[in-house]
Amino acid sequence: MNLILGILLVILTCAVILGIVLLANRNIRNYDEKNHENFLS
Amino acid sequence: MSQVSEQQRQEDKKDLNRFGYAQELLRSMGGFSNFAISFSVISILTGAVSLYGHGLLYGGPGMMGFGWPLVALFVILVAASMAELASAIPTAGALYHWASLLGNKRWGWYTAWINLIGQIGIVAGIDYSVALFADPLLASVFGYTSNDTTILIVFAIILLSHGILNHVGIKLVAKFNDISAWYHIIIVAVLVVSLAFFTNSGLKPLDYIFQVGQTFSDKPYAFAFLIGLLQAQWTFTGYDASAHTIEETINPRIRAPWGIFTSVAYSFVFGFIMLVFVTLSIQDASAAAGASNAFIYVITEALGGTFGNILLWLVTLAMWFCGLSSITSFSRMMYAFSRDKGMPFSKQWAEISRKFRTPAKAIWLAVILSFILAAIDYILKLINPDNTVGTIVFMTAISVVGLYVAYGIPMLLRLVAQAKGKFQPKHLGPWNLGKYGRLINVISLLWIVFISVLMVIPPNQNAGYALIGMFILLILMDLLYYNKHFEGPQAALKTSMKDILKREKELES
Repeated sequence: MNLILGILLVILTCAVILGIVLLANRNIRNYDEKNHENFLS
Repeated sequence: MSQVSEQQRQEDKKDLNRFGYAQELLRSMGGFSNFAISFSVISILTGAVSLYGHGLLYGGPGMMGFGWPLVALFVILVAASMAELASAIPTAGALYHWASLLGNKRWGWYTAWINLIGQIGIVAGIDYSVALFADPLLASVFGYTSNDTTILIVFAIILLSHGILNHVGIKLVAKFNDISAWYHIIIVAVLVVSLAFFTNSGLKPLDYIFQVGQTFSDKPYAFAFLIGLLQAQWTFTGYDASAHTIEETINPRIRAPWGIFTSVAYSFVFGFIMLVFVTLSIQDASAAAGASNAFIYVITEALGGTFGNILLWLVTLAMWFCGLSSITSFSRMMYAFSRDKGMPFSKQWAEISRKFRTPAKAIWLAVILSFILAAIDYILKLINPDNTVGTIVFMTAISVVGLYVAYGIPMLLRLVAQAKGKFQPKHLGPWNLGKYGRLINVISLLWIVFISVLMVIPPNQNAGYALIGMFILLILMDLLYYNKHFEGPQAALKTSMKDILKREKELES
C-alpha cells in the first residue's frame, strides 16, 4: 500500500512539473510584447 | 560574439535602464549558465547529503520516499511563482526589488534583510557542509583528529577560495557553474551505478524507502517526520540565484524564470534517484542514524573503505561548487540592495571592481558574514558543550526560514497588488502562469507559512531565537535610521538616462 502511495506521490509531482512547463511554454509563444508594460509601482 | 546576441544584449540593457539602473555588471550568461547557478546552489549533493542523517534520524527510510517528493511538490509551486515575478521585474535585487515595487520601499527593505539573513545561513551552511566532509577525509590522509576547531579552519579556507574566485570574475565562475551542473549529474550517476552493482550485501527491496512509522529519535513518528523535512526543504533553497544574476543573463525575462523553475525540477528528479539508491543500500539503519555523518557511514559500509572514500571526495567537490555559486548569488543580492543604499556603508558594497566587473567588496562581505555565523556557533558550543543540535542544523534552519519568508513576501504583495488592480496582466513577463498564477501563489504562501513554523519549533528552537533576535535588530535599525533615510529602488527611477549612460561609459572605459 505504502509503495503505491509513494509512487503516486512521485507521479503527481512529475505531473505538476510537466503541467507548468506546458503552461509556461504556451504563454511564452503567445506573448505579445506590444501589450506589455513595465511594472514600476 | 554573434550579431543576434549583441542585439539582444542591447535590448536587455534598455530594459534594465527603464528601471533606472545602468548596466554595470557584465552581461554574458546564457540560459544554461543561469540554470546552472541555481542548480549548483540547490546542489542535491550538498543539502540531501549533509542532512541525510537528520532525515534518516527523524523520518527513517520513509523520509526519502515520501518526504522528498512531498516537499518538491510544493517547492515547485514556489519556484513557479518566483519565476513569474522574475520575468515581470528582471533586476538583480529580485525579491527585494519585487517587494519594493509591489508593496512599498519598507516592505522591500525588510524583504532584503530577511533574504540577507537567509543568504548568510545558506552560504555558511553549504561551506560548513564541505568542511564537515572534507575535514574527516583530510584527517584520514594527514593523520590528525578531526574536531570542531579543525572543521572551522577548513571552513575558513573553503570560504577564502570561494571569495577569491568570485572576485576574479563572473566569466570564470559561470564556467565553473556550467561544469558544476554536469558534474553533479555525473557524480549522481556514478554513485547510483556503484550502489546498484557493488553494494556489499545487495540492495533492499524498493518498498523499503516508502516504509513509514520508524523513527530513530525520541519523538512520535508524525512529528519526527515533519522535523525531518528540513533535509529536503533546505536542499530546495537558493534557486533565487537565477534572479540575482538576472542582470548578467542574456534574454533574462525568459531564461532566468526557466533557470529558477528547471533547477528545482531537475534537482527533484536526480535527488530522488540518488536518495532511493543510497537508502536501499543501507546495511544497518539504526547505526547509520546514530553515526556522526550518516551519509559517509552508509557509503563506506556499502562500498568499502577505499572506493567509498573516493566517492566521498567526489561528493565533497560537488559541495565546493555549490558554495562557489552561493557566494555569487549572495554578493549580487547585497550589491543590488546597496545600490539603493539599504545597508550600512552601502557605497562600499555597491562598488564594482573596474578590472573584473564584479562587486568585489560585497563578495568579501559575504565571506566574512558567513564566517561570523559559524564562529558564533563555535563559541556557543565552547560555552555550552552539552548543546546537542548540530551547527549544520542550526544554520540550515535559519537559511530555510530567512529565504522562504523572503520568497513569500513579494508573492503576498503581488496578490494584494493584483486584488487592488495595481498589478495587471499587462505587467506580466513572457514567462507567466496566466489564470493559474493566483492559485499557485496562494498554495505557495500556505506552504511557506507551514514550513517556517516547522523549522523553528523544538528541537530547533535556537534557530527561532536567533531569527527573533535578528528581527528585533532589524526593527531597531528601521526605526532609528532607515525609516527616514532609505529611498528604495523608487529613487533609481528618478535617475536621468544621461546619468545612466554616463555610468555605463565610465565602466567601459
